Formats: sequence, structure tokens, C-alpha cells
Amino acid sequence: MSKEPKALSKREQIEAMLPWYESGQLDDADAKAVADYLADHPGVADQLALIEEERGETTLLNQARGTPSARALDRLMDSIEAHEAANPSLASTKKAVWGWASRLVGAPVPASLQWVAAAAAILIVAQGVSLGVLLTSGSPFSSGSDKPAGQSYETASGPSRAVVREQGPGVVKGTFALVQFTDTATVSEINAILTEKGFTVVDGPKPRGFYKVRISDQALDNKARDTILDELMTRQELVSLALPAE
Amino acid sequence: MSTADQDKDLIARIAAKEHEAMQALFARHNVRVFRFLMGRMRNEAHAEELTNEVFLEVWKHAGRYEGRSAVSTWVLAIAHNMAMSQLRKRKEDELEDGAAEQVADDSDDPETSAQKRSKAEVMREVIDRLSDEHREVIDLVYYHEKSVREVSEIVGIPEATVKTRMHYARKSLGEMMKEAGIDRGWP
Repeated sequence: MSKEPKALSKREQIEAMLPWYESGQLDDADAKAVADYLADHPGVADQLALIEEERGETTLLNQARGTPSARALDRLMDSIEAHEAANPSLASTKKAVWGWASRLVGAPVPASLQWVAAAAAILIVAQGVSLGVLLTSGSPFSSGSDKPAGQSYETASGPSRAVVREQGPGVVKGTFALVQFTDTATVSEINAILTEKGFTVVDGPKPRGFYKVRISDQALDNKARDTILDELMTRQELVSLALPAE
Repeated sequence: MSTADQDKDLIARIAAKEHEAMQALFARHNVRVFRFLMGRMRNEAHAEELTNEVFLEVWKHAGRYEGRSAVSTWVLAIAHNMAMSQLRKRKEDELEDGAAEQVADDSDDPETSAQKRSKAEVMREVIDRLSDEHREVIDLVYYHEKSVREVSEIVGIPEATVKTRMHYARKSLGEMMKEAGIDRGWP
């Protein structure tokens, strides 16, 4: 069997590059060196036919090696589940954030935008979370006491800093809508329209990408509510659909 | 989006722990990885087990992929390293168990064999009988269509060594063909 000496002759150096010359994978300098050599030594070019033959038989040999069993993917996914179960915190958090982001801006989210989308999701939900966190000044909760039922809260979202009264877990007064944002709406655009209108996301994403948005801290009548929704629907570049919600 | 870009996008999504992206990447590359490992491990069950481990490594470390090489090159480099590790372990186990099992070669002598089969069949048999290193470089260049730089990344050797190794793999192939009664005119 052939040994592998350290140095090749000029001819051998050219021969060594022929497989990649034949497949067009050499850089310009090497391709020119080979082409020039072949022009002066046409006999060496006979090897190109041998290389083509070797390539064909190698391909057939590889194809004859078969394919993994039909269970291979299931086994891989089982292995991944087991790995995640052993490392729950990082995996589940990342997965939750990505899934959340994807639903927010419309799946699938391009990889390059995933962190942006995740940031959007966090921003929007943070608005909702703020409902239950920020108290009016002087409240017992703001000084560190436990939160009593029926406590008065103030949102930090929107210019009006509207007061919302919490009447129990998950119950917030006001007028609400289900809003579906367009696939092309950006993070900053969504945040801007929520801030501009003084709206607050209080829940979501729900099926089909809807978010429950508080459009007023007052219980508006249907006419006033519909006026707001109609106005929202004029922002077609950002809002796909806006429906009344309880 | 090119196939290479699609692969890179899948890796980014796998780094974000999207199972669907992992399934898509597996569908695109599992056969080639399996065949590459079959060439090294020479055993279907071992190759499949290692294929599983290669993609599990991809799942765990997708965040480390820097995008400087094609995803297929990165995945094959993982496969190469895992195969090398397994083969080293296998050799150690064999040494611990005493002399390596000698496999009796009860086939016809090469020349007789060549008379029975076509030149193409003999060539495939010869490629399969090349040394591990030579068979690997032949597989990577001819079947996986890897460039000099990519083979260098996968195998972890300098580019000049890749060219030299491929040259001597081809010379060995030609010499073994000649021993089998088929003179191709080179070397």
C-alpha cells in the first residue's frame, strides 16, 4: 500500500488537486495552476476520466450502505426529551420564549428575528403583568405587605396612567378587545400603537394569535367601544382584526 | 434562500430549542451522516447509534455553531470526532481482551475475484478495503463533495495534508485494482 511521504513532486501536486479540479471546487489560483499544467502535459488529463469513474463508484458504494431505520427520528426525539428532562430549566425556558415569540409575530419566525420577537413578547406581556404589580401610591402592597383582595392598582402603561381596580384574581375592570396583529408588524410598531392609544395587553397569546387588550379603564357602552375598534382597524399595517371581548 | 442558508436558519432555531427544526435538519442530513459513519464503523447498529448521538450533540450545542462553514461540514466534523472516539475505545477494548479477533478471509484471491465481477464491482470492493483514513477522504471528496478546506475542517488536518492523503488514497486504489487484475493505467 502507498506510503504518504511529506513532499510531492510538481506532477504529484497537480495530480493531488485533480479530484477538486474535476468538480470545480478549486480556488482560482489552484485551478489555473492545474489548467496550465494540463495544457503542457495532456496525458495527465486522462486521469479526469478515472476520477469521474471513482466518483461514480464511491457514490454507489455509499448508497449501498443503506439508510437509518424508520425509528431513527423517534429515537432521536426521545433522546432529546430525555436530555431536556435532565436539564429542564434552560431548555424549557428557551422553548417557551421562542414559541411565545413565534405565536406573537406569526409562525415561523425567521431565526434572525427571534430575539426581537421574544423581546416584543416580553414587552407586551410585561404591560399585562404591570397591571397586577404596580400599586397606587401609599398602598399596603407598595410597602411590601401582602396584597389584599379588592386593592386599587395603577398601570404604568400608557400616558394616562389609568387606574384599574382589581376585584379578585384575574379580574380587571374596563373595556376589552381581542386584537390580532399582522405578521409584518414590528416590535416597535406594536409597542408604539399600544402606548399611543393607552392600551394594555392583559392576556395572550390566545388561539390564532389573539391578544386580550384593555382599550379603556372605563366600562364603555357598545357605541364608544365600537368607535375605538373601528379606529384600530384603520391601522391595517399593524392590526389584522379587533373584536369586542368580555 | 439557499439550501445552505436554510440549514443555518434551522441551526439557529435548534439553538432556540425548536423540535420541528431539529426534525427538519435530521431529515435533510441523517442519511449522509449515517453513510459516513457506516464507512467508519462498518456496523449498521453502531452507525445508527452514533448518528443518533451526532444529532443529539447538534441539539445540545447548536448555539456554538458560528456559521463559518456549511452546516453539513459542521455536522460531519462532529460525526468524524465521535467515530474516532468510538474507534479508539474499540481498539482499547480489543487490547484489553487480548489479540484482536482475526477475521478469516475465505474469499477468492483478488485476481480470481476480478474475473467473476465487473470492473465497477471490483472498484467498489477495493474502495471498501482501503484504510480507514483513505476511505474517509475518498468518501468526503467524492460522495459528500467536500472541498479541500471542508475536508480539512472535518478531519482536523491541514489542507496540504488533505491533498496528499487524497492523492495516496487514489494511488492505493489504483494499486489494489492492479493487484485484482485490473490495470487502469495509473499509477
